[in-house]
Amino acid sequence: MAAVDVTLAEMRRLVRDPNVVVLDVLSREAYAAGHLPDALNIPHAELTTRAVAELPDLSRTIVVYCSGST
Amino acid sequence: MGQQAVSLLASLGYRHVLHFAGGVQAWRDAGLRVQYGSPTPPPPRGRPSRIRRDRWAALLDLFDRRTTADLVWIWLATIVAFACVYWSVTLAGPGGLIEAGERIGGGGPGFLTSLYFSFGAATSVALGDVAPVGVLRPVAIAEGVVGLLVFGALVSKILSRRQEQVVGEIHRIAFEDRLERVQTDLHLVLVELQGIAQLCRAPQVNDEAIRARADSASGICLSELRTIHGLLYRPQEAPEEAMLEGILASLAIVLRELRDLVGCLSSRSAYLVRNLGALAQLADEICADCVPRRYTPNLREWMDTIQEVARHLR
Repeated sequence: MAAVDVTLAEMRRLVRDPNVVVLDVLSREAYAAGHLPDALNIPHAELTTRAVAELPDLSRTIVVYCSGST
Repeated sequence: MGQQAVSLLASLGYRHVLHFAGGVQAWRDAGLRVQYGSPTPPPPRGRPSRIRRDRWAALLDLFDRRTTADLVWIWLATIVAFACVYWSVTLAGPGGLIEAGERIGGGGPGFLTSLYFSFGAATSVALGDVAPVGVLRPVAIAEGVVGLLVFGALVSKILSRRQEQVVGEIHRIAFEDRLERVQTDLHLVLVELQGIAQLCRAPQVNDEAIRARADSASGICLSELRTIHGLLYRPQEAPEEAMLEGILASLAIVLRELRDLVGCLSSRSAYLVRNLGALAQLADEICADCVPRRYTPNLREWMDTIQEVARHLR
């Protein structure tokens, strides 16, 4: 599946949508230093183990972001 | 990193995965609000997770985002609005404001009396010279509650402002102090590592002593790396770039020395292995693409070096 990139404007809408999970894959420290409103934090390294337990619904929309400082 | 996470999620079976490539940086740059605070620990197994929004927290947040001037205006507007209610109810309906046994009149003086009573109710100093009857009684109590809430928010805003200044100042001093200490510590660790390496390469080797020193040095290395990791991930305290470059360069040199030393050791204690693992993991997060700030090519090079060396530590 090809990931769909979203723009900032779309992101602002998605953040307010209660059916969308905003997922922060940065480390706990980075998350604590600033994250998008109500984002869920699962550091990249823990994704495989925690995703299934914490996001049991495979059809739910998930929007992933990281630092973006490239 | 985001793109990898997206592919990973897709491979786990998630069907609707989107990627916001701009990340926190783009969000910040657009002037949008970010939240701070540590992640909540994962919920116990077996229960479906639910992101709960606390209504009260949202209400407090609403006050929190207003400026002091905003709050003053909100407070005054509330008082005037309630005064209008008292006045119009007195003129129109059952119940009203009573002064000296008589219902207050319409016109300017009547409105001023309503305003006077409204201020009294909002500040809970209503003296009893003007009194509400009928439907205005619950209204007056409601105003008292609302007025105190807004006023309380205003007072706490004014107080916390000063407090934030003081806390900010303390942070700044502690931060500068820590920067200097990190540089000194890194230098001492380097000297120590070089000393151990020299012993290690000598013809007659006292294995036990070398191992003990290597263990202890690796522990200090780890704590330094933790501090530097913290520096990079706290955007509100940005070290000067020259300072940061110095620290990153020293760190790269120290890690290289540590790598060489580990290669020379005949055996590794469990403690050393644990420390090396933790070092490699932390250093892996020191990459120009993971830290929540943009850096110049100079710093990127050092970060790449650190990552590269750290990979060989495990």
